[in-house]
Amino acid sequence: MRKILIVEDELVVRSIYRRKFEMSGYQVETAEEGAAAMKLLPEFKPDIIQLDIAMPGMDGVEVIRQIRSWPEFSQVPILILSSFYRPDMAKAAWKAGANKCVSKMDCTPNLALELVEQLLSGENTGFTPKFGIIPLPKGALAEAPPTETQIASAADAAKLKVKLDLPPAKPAWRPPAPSEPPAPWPEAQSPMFAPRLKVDLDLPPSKGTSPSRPSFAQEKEAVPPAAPAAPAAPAAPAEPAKPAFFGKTAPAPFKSPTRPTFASSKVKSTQLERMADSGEPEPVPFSPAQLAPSGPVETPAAAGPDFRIEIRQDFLKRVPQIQVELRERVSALIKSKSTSEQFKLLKDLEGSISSLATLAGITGFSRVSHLAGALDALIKDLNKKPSQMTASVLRTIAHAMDCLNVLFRDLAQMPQDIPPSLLILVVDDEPISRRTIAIALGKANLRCIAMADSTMALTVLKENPFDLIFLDAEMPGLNGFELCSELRKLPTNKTTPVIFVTSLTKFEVRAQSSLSGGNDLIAKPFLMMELAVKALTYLLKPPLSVEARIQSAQEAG
Amino acid sequence: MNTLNSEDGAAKPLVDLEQLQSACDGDPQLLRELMDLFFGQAGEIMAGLGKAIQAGDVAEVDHLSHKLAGSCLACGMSALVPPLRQLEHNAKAGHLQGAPDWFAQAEAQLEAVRRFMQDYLRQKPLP
Repeated sequence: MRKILIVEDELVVRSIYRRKFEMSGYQVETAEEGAAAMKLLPEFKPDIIQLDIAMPGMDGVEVIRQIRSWPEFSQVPILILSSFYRPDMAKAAWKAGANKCVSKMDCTPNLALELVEQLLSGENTGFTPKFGIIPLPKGALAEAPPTETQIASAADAAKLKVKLDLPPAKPAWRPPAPSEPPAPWPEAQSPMFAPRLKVDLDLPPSKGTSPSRPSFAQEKEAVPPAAPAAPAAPAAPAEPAKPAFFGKTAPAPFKSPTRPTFASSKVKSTQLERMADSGEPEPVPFSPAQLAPSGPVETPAAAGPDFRIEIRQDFLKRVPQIQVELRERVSALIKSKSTSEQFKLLKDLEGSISSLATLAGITGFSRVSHLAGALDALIKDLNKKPSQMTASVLRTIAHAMDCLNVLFRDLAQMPQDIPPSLLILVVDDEPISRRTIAIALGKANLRCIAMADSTMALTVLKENPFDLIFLDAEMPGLNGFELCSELRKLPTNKTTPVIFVTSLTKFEVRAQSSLSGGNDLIAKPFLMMELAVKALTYLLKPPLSVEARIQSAQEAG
Repeated sequence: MNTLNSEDGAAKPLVDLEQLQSACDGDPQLLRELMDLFFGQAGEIMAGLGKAIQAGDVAEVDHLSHKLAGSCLACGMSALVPPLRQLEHNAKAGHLQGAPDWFAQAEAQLEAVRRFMQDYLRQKPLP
């Protein structure tokens, strides 16, 4: 019998993995922290180790270093579960001697089992495995600088429109040469939110372009308009390839009847303070049918859908308690005045959010998992430098919490897939600002179209619907507020969320932002993860609430 | 040295290196790219700002000083922000009182920042 040691500080996650591997015929030992794992190691002698990288006390990287320092365990494969939003930790783990890193935002028990079996059988992304320390390939681990598409001329803008109407070209990608070492985190190289226009503009290929990732148009054709809650069927050979997220097969994307209206987006964004006064959230009734897997395809050999339904049900039972805990912690953080108190509250919040990200990931609730994961990374940054906690950052955290609550409310009813292809526009006349926004979006694997000229941007906006728009407030020609007012008149973008990025933070600016139709503001200079969280908050929010979808369907007859 | 003596006598950093590292996500290549962008843009804006002050073009002084201050904040070039903000503040109030002095101060800080960053980048070769 093969033996696996699972090192994970979260009790629920630990027990889920234990059950999964035991059901699959493994002898399992678990440890809740690094020191306990090191004690177990010589006695248990595992064939493989699954390790959470972010743990209190001795972190995962130190655990790997210690394991690798023992000759007896220098060759034991180590599978790392790390946050998608902390590539630095995955990189450190890789350098210390991990064999495979996987994003815990997207790692279901089935995927973990699949990866463990690949590692044990010597498969490693199609390369001969080299257990032990593998040199870090240059440019791997999401080190690729985030890309932005610069539109600087009318010709570029015209090209954008024309190309949008054409079938997209194949993404430029080359397979790795056999001599190249395996990418340590191949999943992370597949951009989660690739813009639809990337290949259209003949840009140099992103380092993150996936070999099998179809273009947006192909994706639209590839996904059947079936009910999203139905289990995904294995792809027939003749079918086009489905989009891949972190090595998983993506579920059919949710197709809302209409895009959210500007007004409804605002209504849905309930204020945290108001929520904090509203008492216990009402438990939402869930039925097993609603909880049927809508995410990755389950392999019958690994486990039936019952296991996944069960862990989902268990997670959903915990949701009201998680909501209350998070709401209380964020409310306390917002109200706290002293730095030392804020620091303690941030530590507590980090623990709760990190657990949520892991639990939601393991149960396949990807939207919650990704937003919580990004928020966790932001809070970790703030814990390192509490002085960076500005009013703007607090607002971003509160807003993300509001969004999490909306996601919680619709959890069982809405599909959890992450939108496969998103189009973000950045309009700012300052090149530095454009670049830093692109870098910040890159932290969430988002890419953008960047423009300096607001008048030209309006032309592009007339023809192309965007998913999110960042506007500088002060620009020559049309300023940000004027541009926002104009784009609200366009059918293509009248409901697209608009976030102003500005160093002007006076009340009048906030008023102008709202009056012009803007949804939000972020203050310069911003934290990279702050902007990434802000973007995800708008991009992952359900297109419409369930009630609104029902109402919309009823109105449509 | 990454310090600047402020009016209150306290030594303040010329460049907020944490903000700068955050802006380029700790990537040395991005850092160089951002610095090229910044100093290229700063040179152009300062030239335009000088002309606008000479011409008494209040709106242009407001626009350019605001633009450069925003870039400085994004890159952690903290020493440059106060004189630029003062120029912007005065221009928003509709006058250019003391503008040549604030401009001269901004030019001096830009030069100090440029020297500091050249040394800093020399010490941090690309991997």
